[in-house]
Amino acid sequence: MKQKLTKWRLFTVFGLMALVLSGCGEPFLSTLIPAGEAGQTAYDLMMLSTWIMVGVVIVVSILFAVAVIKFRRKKGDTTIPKQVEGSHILEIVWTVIPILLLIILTIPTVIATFDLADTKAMDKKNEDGTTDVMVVNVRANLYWWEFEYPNQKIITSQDLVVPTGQKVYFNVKATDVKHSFWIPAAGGKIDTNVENVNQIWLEFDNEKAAEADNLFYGKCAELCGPSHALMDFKVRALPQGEFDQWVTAMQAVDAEAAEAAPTNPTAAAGQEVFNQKCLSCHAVTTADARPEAARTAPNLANFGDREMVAGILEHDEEELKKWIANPEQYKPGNKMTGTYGELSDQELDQLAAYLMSLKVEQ
Amino acid sequence: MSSIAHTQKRGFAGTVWDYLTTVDHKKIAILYLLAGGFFFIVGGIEAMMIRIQLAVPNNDFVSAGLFNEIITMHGTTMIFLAAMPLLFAFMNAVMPLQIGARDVAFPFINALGFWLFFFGGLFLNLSWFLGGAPDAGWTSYASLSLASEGHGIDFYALGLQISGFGTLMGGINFLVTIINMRAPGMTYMRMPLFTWTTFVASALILFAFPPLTVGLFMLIFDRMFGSGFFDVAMGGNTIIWEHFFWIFGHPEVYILVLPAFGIFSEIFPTFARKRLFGYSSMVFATVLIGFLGFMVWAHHMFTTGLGPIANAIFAVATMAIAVPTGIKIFNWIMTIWGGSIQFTVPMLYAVAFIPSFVMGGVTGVMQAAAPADYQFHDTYFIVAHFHYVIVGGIVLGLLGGAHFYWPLMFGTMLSEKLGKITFVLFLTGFHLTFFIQHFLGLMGMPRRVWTFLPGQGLEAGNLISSIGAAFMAVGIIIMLVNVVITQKKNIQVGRDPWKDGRTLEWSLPSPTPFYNFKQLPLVRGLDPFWIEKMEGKTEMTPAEPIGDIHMPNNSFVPFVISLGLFIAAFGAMYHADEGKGWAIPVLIIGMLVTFGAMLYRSIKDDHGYHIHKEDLLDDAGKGGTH
Amino acid sequence: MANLHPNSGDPKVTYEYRRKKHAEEMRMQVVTFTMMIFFTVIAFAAVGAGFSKWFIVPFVLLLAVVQVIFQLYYFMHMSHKGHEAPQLFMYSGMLVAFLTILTFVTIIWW
Repeated sequence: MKQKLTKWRLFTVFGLMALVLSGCGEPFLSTLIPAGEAGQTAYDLMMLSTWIMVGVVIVVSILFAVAVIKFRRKKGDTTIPKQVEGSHILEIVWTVIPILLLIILTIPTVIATFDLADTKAMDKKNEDGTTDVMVVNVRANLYWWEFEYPNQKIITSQDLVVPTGQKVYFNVKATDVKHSFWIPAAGGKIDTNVENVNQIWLEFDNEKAAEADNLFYGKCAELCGPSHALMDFKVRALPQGEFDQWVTAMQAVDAEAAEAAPTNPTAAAGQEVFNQKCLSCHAVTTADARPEAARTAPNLANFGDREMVAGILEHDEEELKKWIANPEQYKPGNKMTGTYGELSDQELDQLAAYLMSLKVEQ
Repeated sequence: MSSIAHTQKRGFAGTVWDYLTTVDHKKIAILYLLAGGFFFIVGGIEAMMIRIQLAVPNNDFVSAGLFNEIITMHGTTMIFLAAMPLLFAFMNAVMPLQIGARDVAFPFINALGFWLFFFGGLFLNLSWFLGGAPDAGWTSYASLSLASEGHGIDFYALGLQISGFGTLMGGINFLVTIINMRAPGMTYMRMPLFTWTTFVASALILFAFPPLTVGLFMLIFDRMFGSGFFDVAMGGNTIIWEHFFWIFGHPEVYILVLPAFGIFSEIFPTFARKRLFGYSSMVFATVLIGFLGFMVWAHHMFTTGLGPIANAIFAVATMAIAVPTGIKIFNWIMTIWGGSIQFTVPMLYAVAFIPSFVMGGVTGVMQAAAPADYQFHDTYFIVAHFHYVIVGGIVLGLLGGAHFYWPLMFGTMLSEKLGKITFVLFLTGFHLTFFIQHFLGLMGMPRRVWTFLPGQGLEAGNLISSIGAAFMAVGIIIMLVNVVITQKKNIQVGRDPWKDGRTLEWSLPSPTPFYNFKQLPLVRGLDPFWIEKMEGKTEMTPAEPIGDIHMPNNSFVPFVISLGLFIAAFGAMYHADEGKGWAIPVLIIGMLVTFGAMLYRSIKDDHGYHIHKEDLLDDAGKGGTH
Repeated sequence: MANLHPNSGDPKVTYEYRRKKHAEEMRMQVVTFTMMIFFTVIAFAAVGAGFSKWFIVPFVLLLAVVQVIFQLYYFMHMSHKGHEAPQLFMYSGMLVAFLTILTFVTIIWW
């Protein structure tokens, strides 16, 4: 029977795929390999709902397959089957059982919803305005991310550095259009709106972070324009000691340190070019005191340490030069295009050398 | 003007004029079928372009900006210009016949509804040729859509506004028809399920389209006339757009799926030779789904930051809808249980629908759990879910319904052999394309992405998905071939072609006379034609003697009213541009055309015409029944 | 009025029945009209008397709702047979609207 064959073929395909793909994906990106408490909560609920629903699908499929096979019309059969109006008992059964299944799903859902929304700890401010917990202010822009650490008083971009083993709280918003802040391996997403600040907490487990080489991928998850797909950011989850070291090193990049010329002459020349053409938007100190509205470009203080160029290109001088020479080709619609005129090849070499020298780590 | 022209031979121009001016629900159904079918192909081409672009990482088959336009138009076209009109085609063709009526309550408005939809859809698609299509997604969220350069979003807002008027009129028309024009003996609880689903879907249209209208008006005024509803700098709020859109958007998907459920509720009993199991429960479940559909809109906004109380309440409300839907699935299974199942093409689609739609429905329940949705939202998991319910539910219903109701609408029957080939290709392609997308979403792939980077584990899934799309495309092409061959051969199959018709529409001669019922039938119970057949009769018992039949005249005015709005929309869109001084006059002229035509219609009496008793008695001998 | 179907063959009986029905209706309409004028006067008086706005606004809204009900049932004949569908749709619409407004005013702050 044609449809029976079709169905068996499909079920086999699904079965194999399900087996192969469960728990699949990359540990730095997949929601199926949660790397923190928020991600684990979401994952547990995903698994609970999946198993309940798989049960439903199996029951329905079996009943249905039996019905379709057992009651096929035999050749030449013209009898009229018994016309059955209905069955009150069955109606009650298949109303009550789904309701019970849903109750099983509802209770953990409501508990988890309130758990994941509990950001009270980030509102408790000390006398000096800092909080006891780790807080990062996230600003989403077309097509880059800014991360401000209000307690540590440093600003960075594109690569979010966080400590493992504790809840990290985020204040998120957007400057231009709606984006969405998502680190799939760590937990669910939260929209970055233009009219208000949203709050979310995430946690990065030490062991899981190590399994992912301490690097997670972040994504923008709300259509924001042509380069929506290219708004990746990175998350470096470091053990507490390393994180504190990073913070100290970043805090050392003050105005004085930034003004000092790099030792490499090409890089020093690059600094000249940078100060002329780029400094008005891109800060190279971590204590950028300008108001938000003036911070219109990613902070480049530790650019040399970053994983990618512009979030999507290999982090080497070749790609960097290509990006600076023609950003529109790589991120259509980005806001940097056309703001600094043509650059000669020599200027590009110098800029690249300078930017790669901006490091805080060895 | 008397136009007893049903026996007149018409040239091509005559036929075109007939269709431009028709107010006959059966011809309007064919218009909806043609227009909806055309837009379905357009949307399908857009889908193919999406999957080609996403077949491999870092692809540049289309540019990023063009990709955003394509995804926007794919969604907008498929939902507003393909699925809705195709469902309207079946509702128009079948519902009046199912209740024993001679047409809908307001035939003129019926025509107006079609032409408004058509001109709205035309306006929207002209954007491709006039500077670029909308590019903010079919949901057109406010901050991005206000910032979008060019006129794309203006085409979206104005086009949908015009189309939306047509849909709202259609919905009201169906409601009035069902409430007032049922044949003698047809109580509410004797109406076929397809009529019930038309009724509830029309009620949803009545309540859901006004929020969309309001939202679109605000968008139009913000973009074209300087207001600040969604402009944060002016004290506005972009989340309000999301609320308006989804208060419309969620009932919209039930508007789409309920008539598809209705089609399956007709197909199962017909090809199992067994009455629908649990009729009252099915009616109750339909009404409950419609009602609950209004209570759940914020589940599209779980990640917006509404807060845990709102998220928890909407999560629970959303899960509740699974219960009546489950009731319907089990009742369908019990309908065929103990029956005598014949695997015609419509029945194959119905059989494939059950597991496919259930899979889509259960992922919906998974998404209802808000914390899980924080991971699923705006990823390919959601894309997989809604394609499973839309393609696995609605499109399978449309394809099955096309085969099932083709003889009713055209007098011919589509080829079973080609139909089975389309079925296998389309079903295989559908599962291949969308099943893997669940996993792509879980593995971290957001939606509406122009491309994806290599080395993130997403290559294999995307390639498989793109291959599946090719299967679906071939299946649809074969369906088109089927349609063309069938219509060219034009082999008339006569009354009750499936031999087991249970409801009134199958009791009529084929092709259906333009006045439908010579005498309104007497309805003695559920499945009225089946009741007569079980007593050995071949026709319905009439409920009245033969008398004069009052018919409406054709009219060109609906076309003119819609054309006027179409013209005015251009004026509204371009009036703020440099060097387009013609825009305001065009806007005014367009509005004058529309209101002038409406005035003409209001003032000039048009009493229709009568078919005289004598002509009907003559007709009885002239091969009206074969 | 199509709703008042005569069910007696005797024209004189039907005529008497219809006359009585019309007289009753007329009485209801006059009474209702009078009450509506009365409510309107009360509404104006309440504002004029300078009560607190927390009392006046709900009070006047309540009077308005009562007046709408009167209009629908007595002037628009919603009390007659054959108006089940309009009643159903109006009440469901009001319910949906009420729930939506309630949602926005309580659990969703924007």
